[in-house]
Amino acid sequence: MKILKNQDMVVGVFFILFSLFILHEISLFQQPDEKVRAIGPTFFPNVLSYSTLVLSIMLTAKSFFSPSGPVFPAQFFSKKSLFSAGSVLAGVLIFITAVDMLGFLAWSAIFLFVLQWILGEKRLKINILISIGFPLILYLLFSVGLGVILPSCALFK
Amino acid sequence: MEHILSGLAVVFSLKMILFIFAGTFVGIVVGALPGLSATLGVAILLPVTYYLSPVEGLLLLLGIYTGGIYGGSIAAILLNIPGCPASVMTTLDGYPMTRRGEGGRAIGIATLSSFLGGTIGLFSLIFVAPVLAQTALSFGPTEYASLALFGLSAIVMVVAKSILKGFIGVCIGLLVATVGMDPMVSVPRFTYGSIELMAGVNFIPVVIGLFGFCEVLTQAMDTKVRIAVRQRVSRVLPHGNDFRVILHNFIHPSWIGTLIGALPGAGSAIAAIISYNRAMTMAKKPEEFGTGIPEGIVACETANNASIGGAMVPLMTLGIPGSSVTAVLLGAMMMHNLTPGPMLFVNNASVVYSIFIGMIVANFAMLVLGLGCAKLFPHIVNLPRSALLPSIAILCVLGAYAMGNSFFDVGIMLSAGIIGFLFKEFGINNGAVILGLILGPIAEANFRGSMELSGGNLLVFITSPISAFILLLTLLLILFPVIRKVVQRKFQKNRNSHQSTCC
Repeated sequence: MKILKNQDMVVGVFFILFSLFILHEISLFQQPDEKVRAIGPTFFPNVLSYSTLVLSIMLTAKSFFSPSGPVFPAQFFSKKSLFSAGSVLAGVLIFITAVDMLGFLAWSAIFLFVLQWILGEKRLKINILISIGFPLILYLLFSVGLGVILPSCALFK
Repeated sequence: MEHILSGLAVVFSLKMILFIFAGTFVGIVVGALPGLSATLGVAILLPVTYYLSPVEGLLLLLGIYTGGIYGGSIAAILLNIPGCPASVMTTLDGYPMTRRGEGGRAIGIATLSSFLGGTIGLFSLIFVAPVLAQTALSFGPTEYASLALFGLSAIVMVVAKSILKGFIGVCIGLLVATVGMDPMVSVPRFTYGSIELMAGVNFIPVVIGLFGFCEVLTQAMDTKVRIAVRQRVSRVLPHGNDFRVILHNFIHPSWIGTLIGALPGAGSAIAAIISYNRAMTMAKKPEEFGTGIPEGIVACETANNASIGGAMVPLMTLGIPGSSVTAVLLGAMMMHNLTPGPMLFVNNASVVYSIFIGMIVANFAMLVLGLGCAKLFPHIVNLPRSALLPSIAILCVLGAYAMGNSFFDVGIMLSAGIIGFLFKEFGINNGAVILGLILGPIAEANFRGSMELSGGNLLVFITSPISAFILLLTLLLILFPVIRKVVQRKFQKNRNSHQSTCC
C-alpha cells in the first residue's frame, strides 16, 4: 500500500483519528456542579486535543509534498529481529500472567533460562548461573534489603 | 553555613558513601553498555529509591547519572560505538587510539577530563543555583506556567528530529497527565470507571516503560553481531604530556558544557558536539582531529560531564528539567516530596546542600572507579546481550511492581514500552512525551491558578514582565528554524550575486 511507504502520513492520519476520538471522550465528561471556576476540567484536554489535531493535519499535509521514508524499513524488521523482540514480549507477558503460581524466584529463573536460550546463549553453565544468580540478587535487594513483598508461590499459600 | 555543615555530616557517613559509589559504578556499567544509557539506569532504579530516604535515593540516582555520562566514553573508545548519545564525538579520537593499542591511555584521558569538567559544572551549580533560586522567589503561577511552556518547547526544538512530531509527543504526554480526577473540581477525566486510573497515571511505570522496556525491545530487534573487545586495557593513568594537554584544554569545554547543560532541551550530547567543533576550529592543526589525539577526547568528555552540573541548575531552582534524565530526576524529587524550585532552598536547604556535596563525592567516585576499574571495562562491554536483555526486562517488571505491589502498574509499564517503541520507530521523541507527562500537572495547575487569580484574563501572561519575557523567548525558540532558513537563503543569494558580479 502506498500509505505504508510514507511514515509521516501514517503518523498524521493516526493522530487525526486519535484527536477526534479524544474530543468525543471529552464531550462525555461530567460537568462540575459549581460554575464559578474560570477554567473547567475540559479546558486543558480540549486545548491539547485541538493542538494535536492541528499538528497532525499539518504533518499529513507536509507528508504529501515531502514524503518521508517507509514505515517498516526492511533491513530492520527481518524475521530474526521480529522473532527476537516477539520472544521477549511474549516471555514478559507469560511471566506476569503466571508469576503468582510459581512465585518470583522460580519463575524468574525459568524465564531467564528460556529467554537467554532463545536469544542465543547456548552455554549451559553460564545460562544456569545467570538464571539462578540474578533473581537471587534481585530477591535479596528488593525483598530482604528494601522490604518489597514479591509474589510468592501460590502452591504454598 | 550550617546547611553546608549539615550536608557534610549527612554525606560523609559510610552508608551514604557506599550508596554514592554503588550508584556511580552502576551508572558506569550502564553507560558503557552500547544501547543502554544513563536515562535507562536512572529510570529502572527509580522505584528502588522509594524505600530510601530522599538524600540517599537522590544521590544514588545522581551517581548513576554521573557515572552513566562518563561510562558512554568506554564503549566509544573500545568499540567505536557510543555507550550513550553524549559520547558520539568521543569515538572520533578514542577509537583510533584503541586501534593503535592505546585504549587504556584514551580511557585515562577521558576519565580525568570528565572529572575536571564535572567539577567545574558542580561548582557552577553550587554558586549559581542559590542566586537564581532567590530571583525565582518572586515567581508566581503565571511565571511558572510560562516556564513550563518554555521548557516543553525547548526540548522539542532542540532534541526532536521533526518539530511537528515532537510537539505531538509533548501533547500526548500532557494528555496522559490529565487522566484521573481533575485537581480543582474532582471530575473524573478518562478514567472509564477504573479505580486505579482515578489516581492518575503513575509516571514511574511510564518512565520505566518508555526508557527501559522500550530499549529492551529495540535492542532485541537489533540482531547485528557485535565484535568483542580483545585488547587488554593498560597504562590508564595520564602522565607527562597527556596531563599537560588535559590541564591546558579543559577550561573552555567546561564552560561550554555548563552553559549548554543549563539550557532546557539541550543536554550533554549537544554540549560535547559544540565543544568538539570549537576545539577543532581553534586548534593550530585541525586536520589532526579525528586521527586519535588527546585534545579531541578532552573537548567532548569535559563538556559532557560539565553539563551535568549545568542541567541541575534549572531543575533545582525552577523545577524545569532540561533533558530526559533530569525529567526523571524531577519525578524522583517529587516522589520524595521535594518540590524543585526556589522554595526547595528555603524549606529543605540542608537536603539541597547534601545533594551538592554528594554530587561532588559522586564526581570523585567516578574518577576513582574509572581509573581503578579500567581493566574490567573490556569485560563489561563484552557482556552478552542474550543475558542482558532478559535481565533488564525482569528489572523493568520488578521496578514497576515494587511501587505499589500492583500488576496494574506493570501493565502500564508494558503498554508504555510498546507505545514508546512504536513512537521511536515513527520518529516521535520519548523524552518529549515524558516531559509532557511530568510537567503537565505543573503547567495545568499554574495556568488554572493564574486564570483564577486574574478572573479568566489571558492578558496576565503578558502584563507580567517575567512571564512576557519567557513567552518571547519561547516564541523566538519556535521561530528560530524559520528565521535561520530565511537568513541562510538571503546570505546565499547575496553570495551568489556577489560571485556573478565578480565573474
